[in-house]
Amino acid sequence: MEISAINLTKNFGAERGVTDLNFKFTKPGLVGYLGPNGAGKTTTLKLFSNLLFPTSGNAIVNGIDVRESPAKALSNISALVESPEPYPHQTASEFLEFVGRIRGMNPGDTKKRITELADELHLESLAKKTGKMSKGNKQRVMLAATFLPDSDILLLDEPTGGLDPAEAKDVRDVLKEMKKDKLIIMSSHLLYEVTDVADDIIFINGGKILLIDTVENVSSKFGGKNNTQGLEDTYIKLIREGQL
Amino acid sequence: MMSAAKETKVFMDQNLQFYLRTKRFIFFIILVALITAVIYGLIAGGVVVAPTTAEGFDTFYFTFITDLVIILGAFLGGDAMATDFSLKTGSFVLSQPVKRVSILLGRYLGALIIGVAIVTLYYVLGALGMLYLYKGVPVQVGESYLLSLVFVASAIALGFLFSSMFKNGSTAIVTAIILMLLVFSIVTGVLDVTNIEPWFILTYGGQVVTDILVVPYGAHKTVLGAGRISVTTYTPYVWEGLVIMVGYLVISLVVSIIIYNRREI
Repeated sequence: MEISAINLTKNFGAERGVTDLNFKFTKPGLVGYLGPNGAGKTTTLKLFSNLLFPTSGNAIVNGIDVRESPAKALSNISALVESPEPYPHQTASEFLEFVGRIRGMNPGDTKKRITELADELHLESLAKKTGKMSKGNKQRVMLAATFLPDSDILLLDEPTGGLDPAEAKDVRDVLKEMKKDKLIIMSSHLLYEVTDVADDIIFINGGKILLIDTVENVSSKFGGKNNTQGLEDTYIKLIREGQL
Repeated sequence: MMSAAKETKVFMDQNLQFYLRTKRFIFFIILVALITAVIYGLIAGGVVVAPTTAEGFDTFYFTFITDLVIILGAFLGGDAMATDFSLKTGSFVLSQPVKRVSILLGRYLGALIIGVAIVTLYYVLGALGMLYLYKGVPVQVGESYLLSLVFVASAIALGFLFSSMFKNGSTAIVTAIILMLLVFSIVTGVLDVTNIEPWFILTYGGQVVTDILVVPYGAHKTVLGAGRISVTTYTPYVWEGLVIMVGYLVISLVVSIIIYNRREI
């Protein structure tokens, strides 16, 4: 598994989204993608999921340029970007089966996987129309849809947004299990969440990557402090001063 | 990865389910039933004198087919693609390993199935009435039905074109209705005065659906008045109407696919 950005740049007219992003991850694990609002986190994830097209540079997944062969590149990716919602006229079960069909999954495997995910994510009634569900329940259905196929790479944009603390913990538990054999890139505002699940970390601001390192290294620079405090100190220093 | 045909089928099924669940299909069935009931009610109530022949009845009954097809095109095509943007499902669906052309064509086929079913219902109800009242159905009704299928295919394709351009489904539907019901009529009216044949207007081509019911088929060019105040009315040839409709169908779908493929969210 491999995901890499090569001089990846996206401009929105005169406005800059992200500029000259360069990174490469090749092993299972979870990469926390941190930065303030408008830093370029969602833009980056959209470039890797073919929702935005690069102005220049390349978004590469398993050696395939996303822009050149989107369907092929995306076949190994599950992305949850910008809080999408399921189709309101479908039940949770129907929506998940629809996703299973899109991903070319066997109907029997899909049903089995839906049952597992319903248990892991404590999904409310699968027979309920998603249009009548609360925001948190819709979010859990979308997470189940994202986790449904056995993709090598997951791109998650603030996946616990809209969930209560207990639901968010369920998701983190699932991610901890999944990162053992998958590469997950997760954007978040919540430093304790990143500390809890991430192995590596990217700090981004103003569309530029400020730092890529392991959570352990970043935290150890603030010796004696717990991981969350270390990350918070790093975050504030990087975002406010632009350097460590 | 799935084959393009399987991908298309998945999105066709999804769109069919959307129309059935959102009661749009039921709405159109009720609309057709109402039109039919009003027509038969007017005749039964003596408000309208029943035509003496089946040929006379069919031109009266199928007067509404053009408007029905336009409404079908706007409502089935208008929000088919734009919905993904307004309901925020787009960022999930478009990040799946599926070709965008399969999504668009699948949804188009779903809309077309519903459109064909509604048009067929309208013709079946008309034919049943003719069988009851006149003990026969003119062959022109069959020809008109076949032409109406091409018309509904092109009207839905035009609806899809708007749907691929707008982010809001309602905007796409309203724009499609305004264009097909108002703008096309106004342009055709202006062209009548200027003696120019409106060969580039979809609803002009679609006229063949009702024109073919008239026996004998109307003259291609009819001039009313003389000199500076003459008005020229054109009746499209059947082949010409077909070319216009198929032209709209192909161009609308190709442009929709190009726009949708370039669409960023």
